[in-house]
Amino acid sequence: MIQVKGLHKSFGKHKVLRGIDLQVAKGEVIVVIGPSGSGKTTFLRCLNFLEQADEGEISIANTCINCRHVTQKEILQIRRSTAMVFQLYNLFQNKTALENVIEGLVVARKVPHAEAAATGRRILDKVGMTEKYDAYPSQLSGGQQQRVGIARAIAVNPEVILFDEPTSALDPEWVGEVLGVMKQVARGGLTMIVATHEISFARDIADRVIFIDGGVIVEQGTPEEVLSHPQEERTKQFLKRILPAADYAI
Amino acid sequence: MGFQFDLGFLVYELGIGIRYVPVVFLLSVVPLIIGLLLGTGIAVVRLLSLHPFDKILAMLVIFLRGVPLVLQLTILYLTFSLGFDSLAKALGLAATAKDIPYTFVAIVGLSVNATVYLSEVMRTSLQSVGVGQYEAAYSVGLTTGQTLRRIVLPQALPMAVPLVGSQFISLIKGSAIASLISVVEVINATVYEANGNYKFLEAYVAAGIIYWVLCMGVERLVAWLEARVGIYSRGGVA
Repeated sequence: MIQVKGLHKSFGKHKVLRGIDLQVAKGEVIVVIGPSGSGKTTFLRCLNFLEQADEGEISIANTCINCRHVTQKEILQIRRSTAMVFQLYNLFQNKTALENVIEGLVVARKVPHAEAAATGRRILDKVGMTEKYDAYPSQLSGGQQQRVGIARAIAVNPEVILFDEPTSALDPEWVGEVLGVMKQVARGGLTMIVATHEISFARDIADRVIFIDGGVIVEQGTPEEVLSHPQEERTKQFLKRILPAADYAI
Repeated sequence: MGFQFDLGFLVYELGIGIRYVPVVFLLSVVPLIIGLLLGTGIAVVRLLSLHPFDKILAMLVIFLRGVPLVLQLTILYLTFSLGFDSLAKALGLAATAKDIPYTFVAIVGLSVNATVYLSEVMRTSLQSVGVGQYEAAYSVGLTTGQTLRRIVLPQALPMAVPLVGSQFISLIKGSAIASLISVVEVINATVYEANGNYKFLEAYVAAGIIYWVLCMGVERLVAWLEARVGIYSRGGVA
């Protein structure tokens, strides 16, 4: 359903992605882990063309794109079949929670306003933001903003939601509620690709964990395989650095 | 016999000057609106780096900012009065320079000036909106145009209000320069009255008071607007 072949991306002389191949089935939850600067975020941003990869093929649903020759129309098509949750939430500051959630429906997908608003309220209820339909982002806590961010991503009914380190900027007290909402989304059957440092979260909800380092996929498999019984030396070292010793057996 | 300030004449001149306040508004509000529209356009072109127009417009802005308004207006006025007749003839128009009021020439000149400055105001304000807002809009499938119109401009405008306000005040004062190209506005009208009795000081002070009151009014208006736009950014409720 999602197929990525030979994705390369450089910023100047710095090669960030050096050939990423990935297939994702419908409803699959993929968690991408890896050190800072390994290319996790760039990989996600290439999938919805916030960065344009130098080389490679991306196909999502019925759109197949060669990254070397891509048209504006194809980019728009890909963006309308994906959604993204950002590290810094990036809620539209001039719009209320509900307006944030329905913007993509009303403007990009031409859904009638009343219908979109009903959908938006339903989804905000689902992420526990019933009381805050009309609040502006500046009136919400980090955790609340990110829940609206997730609602905004769900609302457009995408083929896949890309989560770019959605809890990294949150105060520790809000991390739990956001991860909770993400779990609920995962159980709802949406396809998700999540870049995160939350290893226990990966263990909980991932169908597959991917370890990226130096712009390539070093290792992938079930959470049990990758997180508890890593095969590659680089994976072992990474996990050793970020996990308490007892949590990880060689 | 010492100098005597004629308060009565000052009041009389105020009465004369006030009648020309509409001219001042015509010379400042029209350029403000034209400048806002064109200036925002230039700012957007430069913000999105649309080649090659961004470079051309940047050069134009730099060039026009480097020439004093009084010179711009005078050059435009002279070009117009010297060149219009032959241009009109070439185009087969029956009009001559005398048919076009100088007010129109002044409005064109002031509009060019306003466009240049307001394009910089709008560019700064647009740049204050973070890249994350664009990315979020793109991620839900908005086009660049929709992103600018619905997300970026509404956030840039509150930033721009105080700057546009001070540009409006500059325009009101700049409109006085139109008196140099024989547009009858507050200064020319009041000074004309003093030609008979040489009470020029009273005339100029009267004109000064009128401009001062106008500018104070605009300042209050801008302060009022400032308090009302962009409520969301201070945690207010719509």
